[in-house]
Amino acid sequence: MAQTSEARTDSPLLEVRDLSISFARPGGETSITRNVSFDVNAGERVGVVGESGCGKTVTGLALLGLLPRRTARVRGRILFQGRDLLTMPAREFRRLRGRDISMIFQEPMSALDPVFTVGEQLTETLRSHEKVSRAEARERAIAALEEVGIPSPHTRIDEYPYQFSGGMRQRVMIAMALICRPKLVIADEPTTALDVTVQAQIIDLLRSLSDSHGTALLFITHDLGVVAETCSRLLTMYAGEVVENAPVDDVLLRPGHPYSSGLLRSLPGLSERGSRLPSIPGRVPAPDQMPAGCRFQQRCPHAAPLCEQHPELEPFQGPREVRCWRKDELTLTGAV
Amino acid sequence: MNALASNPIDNRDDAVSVDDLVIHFHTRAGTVKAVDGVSFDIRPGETFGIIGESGSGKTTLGRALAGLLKATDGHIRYQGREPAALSKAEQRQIRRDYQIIFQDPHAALNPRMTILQSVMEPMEILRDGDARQRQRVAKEALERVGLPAEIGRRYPHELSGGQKQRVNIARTLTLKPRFIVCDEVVAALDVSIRGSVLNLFADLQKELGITYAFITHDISVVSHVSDRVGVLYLGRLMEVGPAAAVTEKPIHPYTQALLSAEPLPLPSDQRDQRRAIRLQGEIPSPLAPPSGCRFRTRCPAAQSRCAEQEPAWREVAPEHWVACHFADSEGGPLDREQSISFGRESATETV
Repeated sequence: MAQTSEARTDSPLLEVRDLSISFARPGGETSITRNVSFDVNAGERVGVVGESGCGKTVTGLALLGLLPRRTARVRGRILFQGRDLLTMPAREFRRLRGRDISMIFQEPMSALDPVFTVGEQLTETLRSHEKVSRAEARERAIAALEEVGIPSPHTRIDEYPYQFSGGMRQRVMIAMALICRPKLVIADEPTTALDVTVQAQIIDLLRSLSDSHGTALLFITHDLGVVAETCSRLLTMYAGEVVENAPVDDVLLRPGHPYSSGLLRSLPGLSERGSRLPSIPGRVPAPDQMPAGCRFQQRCPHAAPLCEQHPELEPFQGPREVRCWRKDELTLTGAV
Repeated sequence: MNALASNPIDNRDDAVSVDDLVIHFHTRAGTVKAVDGVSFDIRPGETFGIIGESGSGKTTLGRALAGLLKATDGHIRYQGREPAALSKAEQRQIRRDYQIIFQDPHAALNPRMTILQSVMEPMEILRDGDARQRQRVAKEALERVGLPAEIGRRYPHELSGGQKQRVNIARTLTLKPRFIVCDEVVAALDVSIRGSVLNLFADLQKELGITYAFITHDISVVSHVSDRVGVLYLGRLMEVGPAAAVTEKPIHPYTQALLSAEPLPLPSDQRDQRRAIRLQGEIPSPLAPPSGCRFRTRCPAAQSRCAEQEPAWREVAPEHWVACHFADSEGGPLDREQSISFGRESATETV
């Protein structure tokens, strides 16, 4: 549980400012996210939630510079330790990616290369970022596998991904993401493909590794329960915008945005057995059909005439930010 | 609504009774014991939840219930009747009465057929009525699941996941089924719309008297919709009982571990009071299940007896069945282990 005594500066580890991502299409551009701004502090775990199509994954990929160069247009600033990743030379970004920022994907089988052993993939990551001998790289790869709880790492290091179970593969992915001791890990639905008992193991592992190494985590998920178990802060995204940014406990007790409240109320575990389940009517508008004004207004039970104007993300009750005109007058239902 | 009114199962027979069902698959690697001796009944008009992780055999069981797989051994009886003993015509009637809806709403629809064509297709296959009648029933079914009539002219790719799942439900309704196997029917949908689809299933049950087998890995879903719940692990049932008992006061260590592993959206101060049971490892291969109790390799309370002797299937409380040597009406082995059940006053020293 001990936080590492790594030098903490006053400025956040990651500052995302007005990140707008769009994709080129014949005759124009399709806007996917608009003016996304948030911070991640060193060692902090931040959850990102929202329905499919809200821009969570695209935002994560942009932070790693993994969007297709030819079609994606990325505007705004992504300051990592004070330096803008969007204006950084490609060579420099490559050195940083995998070493200082890394990623864990949802489906470990498609993220691992089936024709290389787990050891080859781990040492490749390490040796492309650090000057280490083969023997030393192997030792560190074994240590990394051991750290993520893979039994008999000395023999398993020479096995191929197909020889690992789903949960063990995700552990390999975590070992690979952490082997260079990154300061920030972006995890996109890392437990969604796993069974619930295995998911619990992986959540415990991510939490303890992040604590012991002081690694910050940006945890993209659709599961608010996973966020509650892992993160201290929650970013709710809707239709390409951040609509709420707040400490997890605050959102669970009293969400500031009707969309956060709707997501929480939709969880069947919180309703009485057999009762009618709440849901959010309609669906996320397609990128080319965004309503003017508040993007959530068509689905919002609290929409009012002033929601025809576009609300900004504004401070709300201390450490929170909410994008809603009516945030001060509404009392929204949370999880408890 | 007449066109959709089914004949609810009204006699005293169980809708489905499963008796020592075994389904094995022969592969090059050996025999996969997907379902390996499972017995339970589903009563008319109830929702029977089946919960299990991947590899538990829940999908195989569901397909068998819908008549899509043949039993290697054991029996499935539909209202007391065994299909093999029936005439061809009667077997066809059972196929119509017992339906299944799958997890992926998109894969279940033909991309080149309009929605209305897809909904009419089962009736065409079964030669129900004439074209005009089929169209009327299909439109009524679409309306019943809450879709606008104009959606019939559209193609699957134009619909959202939730809409597509409603189309699949409508298509099933056209056959007036008595029983539907729902295999992970909301797993592919966004959390925000799961509630409305689950509500639809509940409404249809109330109106049409349909019986459901609701298969899912999601404890909160199964606990919400079910009257009774069965917990499946590696081809065997670990626990069966009323939904409230199984999902709030489970007895079997596996069920307890499942519940404790479910991430709950609770603030940190309420979270600390939960007891944490963390299972080691993952579900073993159904090619070579462990001897004795199948759960023993991951069970925090396993004893030597668990490897030697398969636990009997016992009714420890009314309607509450458990397969564990150390379970009784007071609870399971983990309830007595103080190290794990921290903070629970019921802990007593036994075993």
